[in-house]
Amino acid sequence: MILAALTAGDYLLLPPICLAIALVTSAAHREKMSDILRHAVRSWLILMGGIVLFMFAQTFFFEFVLP
Amino acid sequence: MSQEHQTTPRGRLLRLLVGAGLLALGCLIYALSRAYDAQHRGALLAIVAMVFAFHFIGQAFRRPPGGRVERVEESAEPPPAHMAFSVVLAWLVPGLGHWVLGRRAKAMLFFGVISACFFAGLFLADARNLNYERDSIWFWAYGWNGLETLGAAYLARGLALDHYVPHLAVGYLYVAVAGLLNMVAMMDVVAMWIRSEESHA
Repeated sequence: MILAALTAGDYLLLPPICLAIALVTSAAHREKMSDILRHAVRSWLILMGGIVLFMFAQTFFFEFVLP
Repeated sequence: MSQEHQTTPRGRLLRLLVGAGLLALGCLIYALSRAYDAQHRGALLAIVAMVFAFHFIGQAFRRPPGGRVERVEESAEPPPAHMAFSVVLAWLVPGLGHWVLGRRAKAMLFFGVISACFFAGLFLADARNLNYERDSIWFWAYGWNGLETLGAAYLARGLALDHYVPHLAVGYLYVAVAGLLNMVAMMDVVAMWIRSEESHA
């Protein structure tokens, strides 16, 4: 998913779609709403952390490694 | 009475089959995209399908004790005939299958999230992403969100891609993800159906 949206090239549109995926996949395996929300927020934060790390790595690569 | 269930072998097999199917579908879409689409737009869809495939395969092989478990309100399980119909309803409208099974909160969550994702995609692409002749490959993912896709595709049938749409690619992605997320919701209804059959057996 992250790769797909990064390929599409619009980073700001990533958080909402990642939240949607986190919410639905979390709800598909749980019944209690509190469990669903807690797990979804955790998954979403992990996804966002991954994206930020990816962007840092990408910037580092293009700014320092590639030249 | 609330009771915790582990994923059943049949549920694991079903998830594995769906995952394998999605993986094959992703490969097929990627190959078709490479062969027939100069812009490789289908590659995005192939990646999305593969991500969902790995999600399902991961679910099939997850470790039951100590890991995530599925919580089921056993007494609230309706009879199997009702469940079969609810799968069709879940395909038609996101969350409707859960609604008729009495899972109102989850139904509203599915409907809200999936519909928001779908309409956000339409908005981003200016409704230019629903032409079957131009974007037939994307309908492999759109098709899982039955009524919304059919209605929107019917209403947008005459719209031509006659101006620059800045977020067109992301619009495709949002609507495709909405369709695939509805498939996840449908799978949840199917899992409830399987558990119901097992509890009745």
